[in-house]
Amino acid sequence: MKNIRLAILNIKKNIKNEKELKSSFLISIIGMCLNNISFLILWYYFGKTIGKINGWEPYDIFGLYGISTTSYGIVMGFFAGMFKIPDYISSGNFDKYLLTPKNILLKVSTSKIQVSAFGDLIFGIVCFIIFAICNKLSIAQYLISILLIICSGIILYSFGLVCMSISFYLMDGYNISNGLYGMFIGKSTYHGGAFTGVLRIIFIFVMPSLLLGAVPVEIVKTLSVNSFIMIVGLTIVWLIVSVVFFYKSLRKYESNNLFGFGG
Amino acid sequence: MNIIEVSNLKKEYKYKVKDKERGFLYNLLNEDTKSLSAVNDISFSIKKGETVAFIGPNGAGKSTTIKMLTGILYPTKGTIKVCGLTPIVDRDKLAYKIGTVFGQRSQLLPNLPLTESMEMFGAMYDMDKNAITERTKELVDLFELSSFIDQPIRKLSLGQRMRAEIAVSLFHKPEIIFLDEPTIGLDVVSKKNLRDLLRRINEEQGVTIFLTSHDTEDIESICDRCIIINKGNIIIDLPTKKLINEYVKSKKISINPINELKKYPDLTDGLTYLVKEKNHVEIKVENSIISTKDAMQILIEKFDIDDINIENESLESIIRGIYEKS
Repeated sequence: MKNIRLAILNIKKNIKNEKELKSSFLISIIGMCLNNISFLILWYYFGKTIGKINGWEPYDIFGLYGISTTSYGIVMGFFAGMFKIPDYISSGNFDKYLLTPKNILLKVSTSKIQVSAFGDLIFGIVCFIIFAICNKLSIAQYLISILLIICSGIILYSFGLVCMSISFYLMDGYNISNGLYGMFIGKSTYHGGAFTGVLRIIFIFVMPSLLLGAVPVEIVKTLSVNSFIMIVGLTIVWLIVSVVFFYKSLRKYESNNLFGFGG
Repeated sequence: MNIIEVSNLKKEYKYKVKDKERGFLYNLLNEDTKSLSAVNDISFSIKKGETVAFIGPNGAGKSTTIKMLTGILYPTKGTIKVCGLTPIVDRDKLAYKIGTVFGQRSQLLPNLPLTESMEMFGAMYDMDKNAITERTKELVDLFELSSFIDQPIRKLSLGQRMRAEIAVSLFHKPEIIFLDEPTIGLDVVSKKNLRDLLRRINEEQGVTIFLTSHDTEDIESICDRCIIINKGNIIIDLPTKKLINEYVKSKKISINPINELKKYPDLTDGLTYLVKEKNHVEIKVENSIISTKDAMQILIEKFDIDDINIENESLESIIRGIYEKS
């Protein structure tokens, strides 16, 4: 409980810290909303031109963006510190999280916020509302959607944690960690109808990009119990695997002395 | 009572080496490793309330030792007890008993005033709101922070920021504080203020100080004991005063003559000019060749002295001599 209280306080202080730079704070949020809108328009008109693809209607793209960017906004907004692990390792700044009490992973995760992610969060909620109106969602579908957004957020966090923890093993793991994570996140907003057969299996069970938005949209529409159980099960597995991997990797940490090389 | 006990501590780092005679693919698939001994079988203990300088040239093993003492790094061999705890096993418990200040790494929120960081630290150490307010007031008074307490951290001078960093690291009333280069980059006034402050928290609150620094003024004015490490081995462990007395090999005599000097008298073996000016000369006395008393007698005969001053060799040159020898 004390750990959670501290994490909440950390987040509050970080938001306050970023809000001090008001113009940069607002520009980041608005900029991200505009960026997302451009992608959404692109995919929407793509869907409208091509028509239904593997059961996906053009407006389902709103659901995809609604769920994936909402969970992305929550994770990157409040737990962005976790994505800084490679930086902390290479600069030796990880030391300070080992020198203070309370849960290391929570402290590191809540050590930074990413302001632009609040733009994703706002955009995601608006998209989801549009999707809900278009599909005339029932209350049960709303509740399932909330659970699926939580699962999507946990999977996003967990896969990110595995990617970032690789940096404990490599001298300069920043590029590998972020490259792998970029590959994962990039596929999460692709049109859900594009993934069939082996590709679908890979992007659900190996690199779970489809669990961030595409599979949840299908579950909300079809109310498939099996798919829902599968996604909850995979969420739990990913969370356990990522936390265990992080603490195992932490033993490899060899503190660095801060020093800059080149540009 | 010992607050730190270290015995046979060793830390080895492994690094990869390439076989230059083989190609890229071979080296990619077959990696040889070499090991480097950063800390080599060292033992020492520190009593509660001591002020200890842990010094050595770059790469001597100072930071590695501090990082093992604070639970950041796993030792390869040996045992460490800090406040009765094994750092790497009891990292969380130990955090309540130690404070750390690592050179230019900040623990503070850059865009907010210091009180916000203090509130966060208080919460981290399970302090309630009243305790946080009370401790903030105590530290603001002790460290004279009131003049900049409302300013965002990024707007503080380096000297003010270092004071703030140390104040925050003492927020939970640690028994021992580890300081790695605390005065690096500070101006002379800020350095002196910081040293006085560290001395005060040791004397008034009994906080044990474990410090590394390349600034010998830090060592002389804060630390009663010096542990010198080089190439991973402890080469000297002595009280600072004893170190100066035992390792002083020369003295410097400064002379102001009554009349301007037209020529500089020749000196005997063991005496050499350091400074030659018309109104001022400085002479180095090699005590292995000539005693200070004999040197004084010779110089009194050779100069019409208006004023004379004898100084010990500086701690910096003593330490430099020790590094070079080892």
